[in-house]
Amino acid sequence: MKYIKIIFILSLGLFFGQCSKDDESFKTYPVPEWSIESPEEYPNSFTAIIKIPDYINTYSEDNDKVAAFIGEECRGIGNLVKSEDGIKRVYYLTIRGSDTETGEIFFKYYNAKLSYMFQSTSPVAFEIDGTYGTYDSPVEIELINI
Amino acid sequence: MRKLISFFSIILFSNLFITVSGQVSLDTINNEEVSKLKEIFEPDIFSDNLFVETAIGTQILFSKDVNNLDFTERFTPYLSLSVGKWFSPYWGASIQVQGFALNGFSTLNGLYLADPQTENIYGNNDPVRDYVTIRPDGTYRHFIRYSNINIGFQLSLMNLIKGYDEQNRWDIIPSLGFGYMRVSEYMGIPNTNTISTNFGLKGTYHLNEKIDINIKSQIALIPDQFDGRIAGDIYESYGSISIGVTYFFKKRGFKRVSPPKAPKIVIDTVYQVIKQVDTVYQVIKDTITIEVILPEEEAKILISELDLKFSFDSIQLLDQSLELRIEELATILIKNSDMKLRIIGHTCDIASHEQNVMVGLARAESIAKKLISRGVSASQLTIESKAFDEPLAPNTNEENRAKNRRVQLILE
Repeated sequence: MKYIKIIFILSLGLFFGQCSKDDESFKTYPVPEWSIESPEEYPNSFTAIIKIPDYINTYSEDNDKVAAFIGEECRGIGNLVKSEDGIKRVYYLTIRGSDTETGEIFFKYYNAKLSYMFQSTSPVAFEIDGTYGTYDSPVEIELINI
Repeated sequence: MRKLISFFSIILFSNLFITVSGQVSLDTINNEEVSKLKEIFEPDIFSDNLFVETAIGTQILFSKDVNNLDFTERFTPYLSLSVGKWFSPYWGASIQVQGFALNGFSTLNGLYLADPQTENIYGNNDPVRDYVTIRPDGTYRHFIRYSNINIGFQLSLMNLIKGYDEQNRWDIIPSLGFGYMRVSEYMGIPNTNTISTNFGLKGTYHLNEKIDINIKSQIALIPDQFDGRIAGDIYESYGSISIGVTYFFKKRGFKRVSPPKAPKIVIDTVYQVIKQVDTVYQVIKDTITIEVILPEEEAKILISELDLKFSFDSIQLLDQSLELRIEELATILIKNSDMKLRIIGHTCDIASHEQNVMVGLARAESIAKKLISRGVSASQLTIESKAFDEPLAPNTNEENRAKNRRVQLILE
C-alpha cells in the first residue's frame, strides 16, 4: 500500500508539473540603436541585398532591424523592401568602408516580435563598389541566435 | 491513398490478431477446459460485475516533428475514468473517458488547418505562436488539451486460457475500442473533433472482493489533423501507461448453474412416501411368514400326491402323467443322497397270494427302475411286495380292488 501511495503522489506531481508548463526561455534584447558613427571616414561602399531565412522570417515585422558590421563597428543599416503582396522581404544594405578596408562583413538581425538577436555565420569580404546578392536573388544569410 | 489503406490495415490486423489469439487459445486447450468454457453461468443482475475504474499515469504523443521536443518534455499527465461490466467470465465492455494533456510540436513550415487569417484551410500562421515561446529556430511547442470517449470490448485472457476460476487473482485483459476525441480550444489550438481507435492491455490483481489494482498501457490512433495542424502523416498516435484501481459496485464473479434443487414441499412429500413405504414393509414383514420347505418335506408332499395305480395283473401305470411327478421325486432324491425310499407294491385279491406277491414286487420294481433311469442311486431304494395283505379298501368289489392295485412310497 505504501508503494501505491508513492506512485500516486509521483503521478500527481507529474500531473501538475507537466500540465501546461512553458518554461523555455531564451535571451532577449532591447531594440538596438544601430547607426554609422563616422560615415565621412568611409568613402567607399559595398551593396548587400539579403533575406532572412524562412523559419524566422515567419515572425518578422516591419520594425525588425538588420545591420552590417566590420569588427564591432556598424557600417551599414538595412532597409526593408517588400513585394506588393508583402510575402517577399529583402533588406538593402549600403556598407561603408575605407580605401584600405580589409575587414570582413557580418550581419546582425534583430527580430522585434521575439526580441531575439541573430548574427550571420559566414563573413563576407568587403569590396569597393562590390555587390552581394540582387533583388531577384537575394542572399539568404545563415543566422545563429546570440 | 496508400497511407489510408495502411491505416485501416493496421486496425483490421489488430482485430484479427485479437480474434485469432482467442481462437488459438481455444483450440489449444484440452477437452476438460473446453467443457469449462461451455459451462453455463447463472444470469446476474445488471449491477453485478459492474465496475468503475480510475487510472492515472503518463502519456506521450507520437507525431512528426514532435521529437524536436526534449524527450522528458514529451510526457504529459494521463487520466482515465471508465465504467464497465463483465457480461461473462470471458468478456466485458466499458465506456472510458481519458485525457487530458498532450505535448505536440510545430512543423517547421507551420502548416495549419484552421487559420482564420486566410480563407484556405492551409495556412502558415499558426495561432499557437501567439501563446507559446518561440524558439530561435522558429519552432514551438503545442499544448494540447483533449478528451477521448470510447466504447471498448475487453477479454479475460486468464479465463479464456485457464478456464474460469473464482480464485484467480491475476488477469491480463486486452481491449479494443472506438470513440470520439475532442481537442479543446487552448493556447491557440482550436476545437476539433475526430474519431479514435483505442487498443489497450491491462494487467490486474484482485486485491479483495471489491477492488482490483491494475496497470494499463493504451495506444490511440487518431487522424493527423486532430489538433488542427497538418503534420504530414495520415494518422498520429499517442500511448499511455497508467496505474489504477477498479472498484466493483456489488457482487463480482459468476456462479455456475448447479442441478436444480427440488422445492421443500417436494422433499417433504417424498419423505412422507418413503416413510409410508417403510411402514407397509414392516407390516408385510410382520404378517407374512415365508415357509421354507425342507427337501424331506417337499418329498413327502410329492409322495402323498403320487397316486400310483395299476390295472389288473399289470405293471403299467394307469396315469402316464405321473411320469413328470416321478421325475421331480427323482430330482429330490438325487440332490439328497442320504434320503431313502421304500417302494412297496400292492395288489387286489384276485389269484393266488404267491402270484400277487410277484405282481406287487414287479410293480415296485417298475417304479424303482423309473427312478434309477433318472439318476437315482439304487442304494437309496428298497423294494418289497405286500400282495393283497394290506389292502387300501376291502376287496369286495371292483372299485375297491382297483384302489388296491397300487405302489406305495415311504420316505425313510
